[in-house]
Amino acid sequence: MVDGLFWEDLQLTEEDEEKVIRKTAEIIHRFGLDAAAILMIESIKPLAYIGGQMGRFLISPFLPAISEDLGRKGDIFLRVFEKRENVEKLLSLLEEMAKEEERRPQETFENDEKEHKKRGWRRLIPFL
Amino acid sequence: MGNSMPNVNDYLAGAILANGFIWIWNLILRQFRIPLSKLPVVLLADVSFVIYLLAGGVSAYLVSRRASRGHLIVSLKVSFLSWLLSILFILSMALKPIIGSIITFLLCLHAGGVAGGYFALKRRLRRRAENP
Repeated sequence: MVDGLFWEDLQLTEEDEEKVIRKTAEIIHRFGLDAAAILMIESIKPLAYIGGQMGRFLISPFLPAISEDLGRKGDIFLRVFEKRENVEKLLSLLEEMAKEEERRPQETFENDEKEHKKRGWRRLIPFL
Repeated sequence: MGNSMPNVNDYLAGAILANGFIWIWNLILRQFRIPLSKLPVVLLADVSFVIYLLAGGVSAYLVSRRASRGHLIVSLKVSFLSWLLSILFILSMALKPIIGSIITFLLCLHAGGVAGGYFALKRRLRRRAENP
């Protein structure tokens, strides 16, 4: 990946794309939103290219105002996910992660409950 | 079961099932109107909303279970078809079209449909984890 300003022509390799996809999947998984994300992404997958272009036009120019790093990351994110095959990779990765989560032994869940550990998005809501 | 999608019959069955719930609730409201009139109207309205949500959710869940992908699209198709059918029911039963009911059906059936699709997808992921 070329380290440059956000408006410079970034050359993304396969590994860079894989890294972005994996990181996105991990963030979604950390918040316990696998199923919701699969549901949404499966539905809007045909609009990936249009969404990417709209994001570049409407969001991308404003991100460097927050921080230059965010501008670059946003640009990379939009470039990666405007390709439908990358969206499909993300979907399959999320499905794998969700299946792994379901396969977790019951004892782990019981231990979590005993220690009053909240998992996923429930951590954000105090009364749950 | 690898790449299955519901067919027209499934969608129609889902729409009719959702309207079955609505029709039975309307029938109950009509048959027991004297005892039910003692209850607060707000309570009856809330129960109606829950029943419409349930109708949308159950029908969308059952149809989405037959899909191997695109659960949200499938459940929204079922909800939309249920809504169209519910408009037909309203037009055939009421003397004049009730805009409030039509909007309520639209919102509740679609919200229930999204929930139904979500639960169908969760079930599919769980089953695939159990039987890889």
